[in-house]
Amino acid sequence: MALWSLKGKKILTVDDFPGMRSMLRTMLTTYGATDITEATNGIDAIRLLAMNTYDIVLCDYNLGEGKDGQQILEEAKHRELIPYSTVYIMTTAENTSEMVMGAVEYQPDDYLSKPFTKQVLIARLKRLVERKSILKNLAISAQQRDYARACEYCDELLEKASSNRYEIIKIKGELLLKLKRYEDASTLYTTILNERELPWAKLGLGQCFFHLEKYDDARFCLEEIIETHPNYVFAHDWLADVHKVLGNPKKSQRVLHDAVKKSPKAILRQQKLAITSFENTDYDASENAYKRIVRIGKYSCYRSPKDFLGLAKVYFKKGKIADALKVISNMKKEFRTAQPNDRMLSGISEVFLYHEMHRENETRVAIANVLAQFKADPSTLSSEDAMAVARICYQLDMHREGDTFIQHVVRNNHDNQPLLAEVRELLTECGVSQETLEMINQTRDEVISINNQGVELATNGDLEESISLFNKAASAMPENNIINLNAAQSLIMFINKSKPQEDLLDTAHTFLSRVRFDGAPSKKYLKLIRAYRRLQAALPNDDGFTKTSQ
Amino acid sequence: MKTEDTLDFPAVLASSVHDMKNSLAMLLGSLEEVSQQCMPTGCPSQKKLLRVQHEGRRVNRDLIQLLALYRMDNDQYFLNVDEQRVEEILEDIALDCEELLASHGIQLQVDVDEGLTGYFDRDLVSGVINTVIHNAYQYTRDIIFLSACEHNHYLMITVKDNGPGYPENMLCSRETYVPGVNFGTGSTGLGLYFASRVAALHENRGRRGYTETSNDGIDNNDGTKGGRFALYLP
Repeated sequence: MALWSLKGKKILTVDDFPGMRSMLRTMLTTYGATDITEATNGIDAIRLLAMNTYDIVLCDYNLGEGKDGQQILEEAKHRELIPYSTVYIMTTAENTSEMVMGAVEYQPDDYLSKPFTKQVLIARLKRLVERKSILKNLAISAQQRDYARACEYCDELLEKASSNRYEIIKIKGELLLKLKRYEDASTLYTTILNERELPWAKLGLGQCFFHLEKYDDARFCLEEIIETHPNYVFAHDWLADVHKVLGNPKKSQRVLHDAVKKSPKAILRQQKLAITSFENTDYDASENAYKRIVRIGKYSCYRSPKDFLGLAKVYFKKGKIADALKVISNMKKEFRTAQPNDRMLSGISEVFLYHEMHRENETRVAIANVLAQFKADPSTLSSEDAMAVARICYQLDMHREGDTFIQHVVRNNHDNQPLLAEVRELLTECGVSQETLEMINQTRDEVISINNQGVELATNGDLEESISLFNKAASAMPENNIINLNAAQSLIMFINKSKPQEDLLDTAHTFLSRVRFDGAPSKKYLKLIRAYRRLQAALPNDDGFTKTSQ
Repeated sequence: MKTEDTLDFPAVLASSVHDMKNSLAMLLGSLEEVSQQCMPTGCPSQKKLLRVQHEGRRVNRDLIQLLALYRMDNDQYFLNVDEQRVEEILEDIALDCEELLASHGIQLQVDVDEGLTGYFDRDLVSGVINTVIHNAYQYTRDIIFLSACEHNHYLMITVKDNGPGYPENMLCSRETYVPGVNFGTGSTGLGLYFASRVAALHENRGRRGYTETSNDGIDNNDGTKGGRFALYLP
């Protein structure tokens, strides 16, 4: 027992209470920890997590004013600030199950309820570090979207391990759903349900039914979960979707409303409720939901300018023009110093609202503002938003601006035929000139030619030239799958020929992480991500853990 | 429906307990530090300190139980049932009380199969076992035996001791009803009541958890046996 120590481990503790921080320090030091950093609030914690990689994070749930422990975890995972290898423990003085309720997307590795002794703390840490090492390959494959490989790891683990069988089966089910292998997933869940009535397995089965378009089975299954486990809120989310597909949007709203009452802090669900209520023209309900998001979500990474837009639109629908405008001005104030992506969203929201309110001059100003931001950093504008803004531009006869946005969409999706068809349709609807329609093909040809050039350079062995060309191309078209894949490929080819270099590998990973799929990832992506993993493993001390003897 | 101006008792209770638990965490932490400091010096207060720590933890457990019972009665308790490694849970419990028991010359023996898993709410079940052990600590002579195994498709967690055993009014089996809380006697039976409530919350495929108390614990070598508590989880 005493042999296992925290020596060499980089530890972060987060607690607003100085007494608790010093107590934790004393406990950890007893077990050989020397590298302990302390944070007192969410902002500090996020800043530290962004700058360093910690082996262990001990974060208190209740931190007073500001982000709570769950919000820190959500933001850190959402922004990929903590690698899988990090052990994240939430310490708490309250009942942990309440936090599980609030938690939607992410859960910590463990909860530790206060007061705890140092013996228990160290025992938990030791186990978690060991468990992480057992699941390491599986987790990394899943994180890199190599779901098929991750499934194989699950099977391997299931063959030997017995103690965390359900945990692995649960992961496997999620992977099968991601791979859209609904029949396989449904068999897996049914087998488990014959052994034990597990809400997550039933939820999984409900999801399978949903995807297999067996909506009545899905509804029955989900309603049964809600009956037996009324607090298992995830079932409500799926039931709401089922009702929607079955043409009962009112029921969908009611189900979400019930769920939100049970987990008021879950912002994503509140957003779903706000949107559903708006679609049902239940503006009072939508207003309430949006107001809650804006209020409760103050410290949540999920709150976005789009929530302000939603609220403003509700006010507009209710004829409260002054309130709508006030919301927009609040939004501008709040997101003025936010991340570039949120600032862009704030600008776009302005365009949408002013346009909806038929305020032409303000819309023009807002569009000019979006364009300026776009020119400063094209990667902040999503294709979806670019199309929506372009449509407004053409309606206001701002053709030059509209063309710029459309060009952005085409550049990022030059091989996405369904989307290009949508673009053509949009342009036809807006009655643009033949010249603009031609632009789509021209832009497409440009991208193809750039891509071919890069590929040719790489095949001819001129890898450095190829890398620099794809680098440039990828920064101009950050969402373009083919460009990103080829950018990663030329880097990996280069590293293969020289020696593994961490910075180049990181860049390759960034390109790969931008590639989007619907369901299972493409063969080319899998080939590259596996090559990346191989090279990553060849790096010295790849996981950030300092090995200590056990 | 509740109106806005009535006192939201659950909220008040929850936040007070939260506060008290934070204070207790500090208190216990400081006590532990003091106790560590005086251990090498062979300070005569060492044993008393452990006793104070024990009482502190007991207050903490009682608070958690009270809050949990309140919520169960108001259908506000969200049972967090998940796969658990029994060995780990028992290890945590043992680590928590080892020192105290050792200081009183009580030996804690743990027997559990490696890899044994159960399906239950960790907080609740740990709370139950902790309470039972601390109860046994007050009555046992020198041994407490904590074990877990599979029994008729139930997970059975047992705590045995070699003390005088449970009094008649605290004995219960699966068939007999668990004695209610009796505030008239010195021992309220709240712990056992809590245990039976926790057991009953656990259900699987039509089978429900239950508790059992009996006096066939560890042989006292005088024709009697100590107390035995068992928690059965489906």
